Amino acid sequence: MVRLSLLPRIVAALLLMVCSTSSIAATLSAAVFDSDGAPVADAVIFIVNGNAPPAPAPATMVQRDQSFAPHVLAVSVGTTVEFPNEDPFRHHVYSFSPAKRFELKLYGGDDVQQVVFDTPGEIALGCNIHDDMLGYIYVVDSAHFAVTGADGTAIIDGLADNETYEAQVWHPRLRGPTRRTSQDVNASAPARFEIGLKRDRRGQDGSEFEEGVY
Amino acid sequence: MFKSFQTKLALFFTALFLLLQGAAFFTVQEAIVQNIFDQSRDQLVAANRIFADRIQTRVAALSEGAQILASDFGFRTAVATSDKPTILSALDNLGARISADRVLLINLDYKVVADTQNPDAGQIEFPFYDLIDRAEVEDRAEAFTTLNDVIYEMVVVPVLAPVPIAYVAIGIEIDSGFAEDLRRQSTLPLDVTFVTGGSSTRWTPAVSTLPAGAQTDLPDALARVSLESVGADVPVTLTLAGSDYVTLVQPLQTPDGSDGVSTILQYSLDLALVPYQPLFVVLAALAIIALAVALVGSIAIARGVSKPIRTLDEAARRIQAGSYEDKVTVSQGDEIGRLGETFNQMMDGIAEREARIEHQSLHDAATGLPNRTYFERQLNESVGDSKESPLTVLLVEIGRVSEINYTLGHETGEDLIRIIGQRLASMVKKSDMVARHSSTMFSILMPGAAAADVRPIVDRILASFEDAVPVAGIQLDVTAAIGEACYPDHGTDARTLLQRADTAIYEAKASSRLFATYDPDADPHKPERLTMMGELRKGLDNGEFKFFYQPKVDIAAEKITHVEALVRWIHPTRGFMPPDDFIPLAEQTGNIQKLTEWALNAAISQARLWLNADIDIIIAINLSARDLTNRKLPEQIQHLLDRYSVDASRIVLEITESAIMDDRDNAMAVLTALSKMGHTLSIDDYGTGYSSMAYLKALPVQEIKIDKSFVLKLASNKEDEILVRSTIDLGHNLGLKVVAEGVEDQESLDILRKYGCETGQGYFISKPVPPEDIETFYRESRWSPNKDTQTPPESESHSA
Repeated sequence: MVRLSLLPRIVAALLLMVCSTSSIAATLSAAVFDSDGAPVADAVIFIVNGNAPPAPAPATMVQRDQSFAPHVLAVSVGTTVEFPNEDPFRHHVYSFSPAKRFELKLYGGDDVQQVVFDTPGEIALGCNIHDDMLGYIYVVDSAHFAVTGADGTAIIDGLADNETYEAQVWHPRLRGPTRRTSQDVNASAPARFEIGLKRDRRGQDGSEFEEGVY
Repeated sequence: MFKSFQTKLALFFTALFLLLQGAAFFTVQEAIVQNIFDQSRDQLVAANRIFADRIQTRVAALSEGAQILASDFGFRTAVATSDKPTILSALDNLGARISADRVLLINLDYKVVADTQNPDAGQIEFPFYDLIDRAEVEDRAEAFTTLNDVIYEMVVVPVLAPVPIAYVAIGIEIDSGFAEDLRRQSTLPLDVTFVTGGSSTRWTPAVSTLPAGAQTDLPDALARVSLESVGADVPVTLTLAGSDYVTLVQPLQTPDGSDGVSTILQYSLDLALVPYQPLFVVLAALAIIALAVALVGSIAIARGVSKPIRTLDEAARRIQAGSYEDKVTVSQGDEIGRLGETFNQMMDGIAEREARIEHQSLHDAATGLPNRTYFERQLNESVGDSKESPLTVLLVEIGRVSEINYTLGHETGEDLIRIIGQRLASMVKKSDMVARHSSTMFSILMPGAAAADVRPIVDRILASFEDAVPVAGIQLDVTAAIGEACYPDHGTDARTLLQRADTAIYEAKASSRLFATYDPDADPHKPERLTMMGELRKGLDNGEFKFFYQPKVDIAAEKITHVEALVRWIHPTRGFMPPDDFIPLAEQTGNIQKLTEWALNAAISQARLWLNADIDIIIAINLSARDLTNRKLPEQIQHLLDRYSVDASRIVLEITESAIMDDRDNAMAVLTALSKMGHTLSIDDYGTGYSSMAYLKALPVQEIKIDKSFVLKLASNKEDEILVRSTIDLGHNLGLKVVAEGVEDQESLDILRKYGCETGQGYFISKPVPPEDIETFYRESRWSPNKDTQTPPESESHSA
């Protein structure tokens, strides 16, 4: 899990470097908690009314150990995402999500698979061979976004000082049909988000089945 | 109702037996039913588990099939692309493969996208959200649901891509086949019913193996079942269409939005009892046989008790009726048998006591002879038995008893009576009866004896009294008078016969034989005589009675000194009534007292009149035997003497011998009193009785009056002359004056004078005359004390 949580930070650092070229200086520190006050990882935070997204840089969704890494990948509109297979066997990655329906039929480590995500929204990734594999790519139409780490925090750069923005949080298990929630934020102060989560279907976040009815 | 002991006892035992049998029968039945109930509960609970297992297995199979479909990439593609025809065909295919009745595809908005039963329907909402929600989290959810009024066993699985993009719901209809299937799998012949509804709504059977009638009753029966027993493996008993069912209600898992669904597992007790039917038949047969035995037995026992009781009852009735001869025969050796013996002893005791009491009541204690009551009863019976044959009753009156009682004491008197009774009893035949009739009388009943047959016995009895009776060392002289009455001549019943015999005793006492047969002509109780007595009393009041006075003269001085008062009754219709016609009658009927009262009053008042007129004549009055028994007589006379201021010496009282002899005790007392008062007492009709001179001496008398039968022919009869002469001498020797009555001629008077007789009376001197004539006689006749010799009046042939 440590390795998994490192990757978004690297991506975020890269983005930060890209953004630093602009005149925007302020940084928003945001944290997401669930209704029990526990930090929520893999939540995507993005600013709705910030600057227009810059030219997208490629991103990577690795298949490793029969899972997607990272579990949640946030990209801006038009980003090309590579799907490198690091496992010694093949995968058959697919998405039936409306934002991007695609199918990467049985490929191995030698094949480079690329998919361009040009519609904002969530894309649930699965593998036709390995039912347990689940990952998400969330496409945002924003220049400012980040994914929370295991401690539930994320840093969003390039914001103007003392300006209030509408920030949205998306999480695969967030209650509601859009799985998103919105909140005004100001970079001068750390933002705190509290979201209600549905139970995890498969305990991927370490939580147990709360009840077994039958 | 139920009067007899026998019925009561039989009824009691039968009722008791029925009660016990009924209790036993129902206890057994209850135990069997309870046993069946317990057994069937276990069976039902077991069946319920089997049923649950079976459902699990089916659900597993269904969900497996569904998951296979849901993870099919082609199907997922079809779902993702909303390719409805492909989806429907895939669902149909799945349904056919796993024998599902209905397969649905539901999208994330809970809308039914495809329905194998309604392929062309638009999107309708899937009502069971929680099934979807559960399936989302748990990859599978199953429940029983009602959809379009059909019960489905339903499994929902998500279509994952890889997150849920839709849900597949597979339903298997719960139909009668399923119920039958369950029923077959049970070891018991269970009935399986699936009902919809539940706690708040009415239970509605959807599928059932129950008979139609039982199905109809089921909802109401279930409505009464306590909710606590529902689903708690606690069976209840329901009555459906008249049959009892052990019932287990098991609610099934249903989602929100569905009606409740429950399984009803039932076991018919009727069916369960079928194997026990022979047992019940045997029990019932035993009960009937035992009841019959109990009935017969109790009747037999009751008979054993009630028959001797009836016997005793009859015996008691016999005792009540006074019959003690028939003994009770109770052969039992038990208490009742002993009671029978006691009864017999009681009967003996009662008979003995009754005989004793009867004997006492019918016998005289002193003599041991039958008493008057017994005698009268016997006499009446004999009269009834005798028909035409004659029968004689004798009454024997013993004289001098009161005299003996007076002088020697009552004990001696009773001893005497007893001895006489024994003597009488020894003199009659065995078939005759001697009874004590009164203190001085015995009665003798001689059945079959005519008057002539009785004579010798009467003679023997009378002869026996000629000898003295030895009592306590003393020889006692007693007399007896016997009166006789014969059936049927003198009466036809005891009372009449005894009364007539009693009447005859009067006659007997007056006769020399001391025996008389009843003479109707002499009976004072004859109606015409009784009438005469009534007239006598009336006559006394009406002044029909008069005294005529016959002068008595001093023979030596030839002067009148006394008169004898002789009663005359001038009856208004019969004319002159001779004293002999009514005086004995008056004595016998008790009217003499009234006559005496009149006589004393008339004579004493006359004495006063003559004293007033200066006529010195002493009046003699006759007293009857009855007068001498009246102890108040001296007092009465004294009263009159005082009233008229007449000295007792001016009244002479004449008494017959027999009057004194009748009741010597009283007569003696009365005569002594009268003598003391100063009266001269004179024995009338001397010579006709039996009294000895010695006896007369003991009496306070001063005078005897020779009966006229000796005087009338004195002049012509030498024997009479001797008798008269010796009587005069005797009287004089005893210091008594002598009066001769019936002096009819001068010769007789001369003879009397010659022998020294003091006083003479007779027709030669004067017939009885009214008192005014006495005055004339006193003053003017030759017997007047005032004149010397006068010619006597012409003699008459009548006697006074």
